Amino acid sequence: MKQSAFRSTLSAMLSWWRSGSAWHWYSLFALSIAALLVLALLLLILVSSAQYFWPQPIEEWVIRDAAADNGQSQRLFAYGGETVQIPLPDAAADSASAESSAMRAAVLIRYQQMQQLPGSGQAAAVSRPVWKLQAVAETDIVRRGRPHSLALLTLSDASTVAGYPLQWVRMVPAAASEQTAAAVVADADTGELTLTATAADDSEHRGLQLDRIEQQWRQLKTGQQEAWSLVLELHDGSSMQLPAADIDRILLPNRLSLAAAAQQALHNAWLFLSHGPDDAVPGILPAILGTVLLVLVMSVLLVPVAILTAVYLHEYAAQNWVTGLLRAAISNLAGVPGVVYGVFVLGVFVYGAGGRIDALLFAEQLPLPTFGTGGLLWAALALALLTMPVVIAATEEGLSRIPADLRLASLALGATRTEMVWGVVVMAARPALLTGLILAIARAAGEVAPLLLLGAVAYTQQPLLDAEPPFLHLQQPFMHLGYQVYDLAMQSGQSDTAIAMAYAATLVLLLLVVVLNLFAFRLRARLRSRYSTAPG
Amino acid sequence: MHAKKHNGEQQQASLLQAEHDDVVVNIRDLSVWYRQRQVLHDVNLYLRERHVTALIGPSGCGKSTLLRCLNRLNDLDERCRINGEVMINGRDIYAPDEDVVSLRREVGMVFQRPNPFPKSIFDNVAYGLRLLGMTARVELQEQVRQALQAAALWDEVRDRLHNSALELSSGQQQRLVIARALAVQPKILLLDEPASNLDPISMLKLEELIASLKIDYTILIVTHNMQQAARVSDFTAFMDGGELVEFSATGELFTTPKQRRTEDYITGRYG
Ligand SMILES: Nc1ncnc2c1ncn2[C@@H]1O[C@H](COP(=O)(O)OP(=O)(O)OP(=O)(O)O)[C@@H](O)[C@H]1O
Ligand SMILES: [Mg+2]
Repeated sequence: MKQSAFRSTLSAMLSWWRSGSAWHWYSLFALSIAALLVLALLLLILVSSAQYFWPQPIEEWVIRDAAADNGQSQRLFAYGGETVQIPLPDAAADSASAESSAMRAAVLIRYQQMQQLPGSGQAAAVSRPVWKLQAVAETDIVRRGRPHSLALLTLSDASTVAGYPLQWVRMVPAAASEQTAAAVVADADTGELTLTATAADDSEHRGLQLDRIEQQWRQLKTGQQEAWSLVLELHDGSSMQLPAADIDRILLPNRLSLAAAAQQALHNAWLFLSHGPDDAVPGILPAILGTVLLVLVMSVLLVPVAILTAVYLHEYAAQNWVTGLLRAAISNLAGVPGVVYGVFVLGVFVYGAGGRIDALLFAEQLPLPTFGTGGLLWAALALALLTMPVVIAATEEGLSRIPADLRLASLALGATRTEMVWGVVVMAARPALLTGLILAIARAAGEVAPLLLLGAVAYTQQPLLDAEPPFLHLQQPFMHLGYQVYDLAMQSGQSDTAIAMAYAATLVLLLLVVVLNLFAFRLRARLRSRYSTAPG
Repeated sequence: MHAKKHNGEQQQASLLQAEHDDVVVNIRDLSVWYRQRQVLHDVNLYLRERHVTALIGPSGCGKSTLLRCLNRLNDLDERCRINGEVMINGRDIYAPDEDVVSLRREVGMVFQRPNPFPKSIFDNVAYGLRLLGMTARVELQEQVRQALQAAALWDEVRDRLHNSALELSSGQQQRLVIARALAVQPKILLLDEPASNLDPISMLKLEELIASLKIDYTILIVTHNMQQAARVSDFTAFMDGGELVEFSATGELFTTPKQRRTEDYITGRYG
């Protein structure tokens, strides 16, 4: 009885196996593994770069003043960072030279400090807050907290100031001339406070409501131009007046709702995308431009050569072993590491051809190289070589899918071979070419190795595109997203912000590839729906 | 079908002699090999000017191959080897100095499977005209319209000339490729089963079209439909296994076939 039950289960399993539905599950399994890996990668990038954009809480720190050495403490407004190991201070190291390599735990913080700015003209020297990096030994920390009323202001020059908002004041117009002189920064110690104090009768105060500070600001900003200022208590106890019109954004990072934080994160992301590295908010715009231009120049170099090669291989060459060998050689080029292309282009084109071009056309600038050094053109050339095999293979595949009937139809109407190939076959194979280009762009946009040799830089001030002829400066070194990622991840030591920024740059690079591909996809879909028989 | 009667019976006597003064295409001892395999064996056939000749025979017997020999479309295939002689208007088209491009303009062809280009309807018909160097918009439009009218397609596509030709039904595509061939005004038309995708009404229309084309063109039509061959053609050739078995006036071939194989085939005992 029992055995027959076992048998029937077994035979049921066997027949299930034979029915082939197991394969359904295997393929589903494989698909889910692939999907999970992709999701995990995306999640890592998303979460890590969100960290970069998400508004960080500002902390109020009280630390023992190492310099004073008399138990005095100091208040700081700071972003707390990760824990690092730092060597013991010199004094300690001297006393115990045997343990000179002794380390202690410290926290890396970015804190606000007053910086003296040289006074311009008759105006007194002013000081303004700037942000500095410093490691604070854990033993020096007296207290750290996240006070709810601490505000972070973004000014119109994109710099940021942290402080406790105290009140809104308004100068009467009589004092306006003096007030504008003090408008940038008003410091307690340099007489500005006395101005406020003596002019107390002329100024109008208004109570400040922390919950509504942003609405208040907006009202005051739009209401009476430049009249109202916000009084802010800085970390050192001094106060500072900031004209409402100079303020771009007011944020209370320690009491943000989730929605407000998300909004701020989006704002930060936008700043990141729309600024250069020089600006107060370090951004990535030139690297985006560099990447897009690089890919475009690459496509311009790549497409004609790839089409001609594929057409020759498929339409004109005799299909014998030589052609087969050639085809295999081209396909195998896809396996050559990117850096080899970099070296090749460097040796043959930059030093060889570039040197010639310089000698012929830019002789007056020698010994400064123009084309004889890495630049956008050469990097694009290396990428074009690198991705050529993919595009050739895809195009050839597309050509071979054009039905023979179509060729015959064209010839039968009196077309020459050339007219047949270019007017019918290549036209019909365009979607396949675009497929190849999509693959090439995805591959090229992320490739960094050859760029290391060919003019990618972490920072440059010269724009690739400007109003000066020839508008696109192909010989110039360029910034590139992939290179930024590499640079941030490799050269910036242990800094968490640099790593987070690298992730953010990665995210931007991914989005860029998606956008570029969407363009190509749409173009291909249009070509297909209008004209093609064969799917590309 | 007056033409059939007229040609088929009055000129019957002179048919067996290959020499007429209106022979445009003369095929002599034509053999074709694909690689090692011979697919045409010493075919002898001639086409007379402004007559319709039907080519019938079982599938795979070499009809399409024979057609492709008449405009040298086999040239493209390296594996294909040709022996024999094809004279068109007294000229050996396989002569080394033959201009293949102008030959193909002279000999239009409609393929077994409709094969419109992946272009618009207009561009399909205008393709051959543009190859001829015609660029004037008005002239092109006029020629395209005439060709489409001649192929009885104009009314169906007149207001969507710039849509893709691949949107058309296969019957419409068939007529489109006929229009495409007619647009360049060849002298000889090779039709490879042009009715294979057509409904009975379109098929009759096509037959009327062929009858009217006969005024200007010399036509060779391949068909699997015996009634159709009987209706449209003046002469009929029967091929089997790469050989031309019998060639005579249509009426004669269908009523009194001389060969046993022909008789078996047309009475459906083939196989
Ligand atoms: N390109 C080619 N390469 C190799 N063999 C071919 C080629 N074209 C035709 N053949 C062979 O030549 C023979 C004749 O083919 P063909 O197409 O002329 O037949 P058909 O009479 O037109 O048949 P159907 O009525 O089915 O169209 C067939 O045996 C076919 O296999
Ligand atoms: Mg055929």
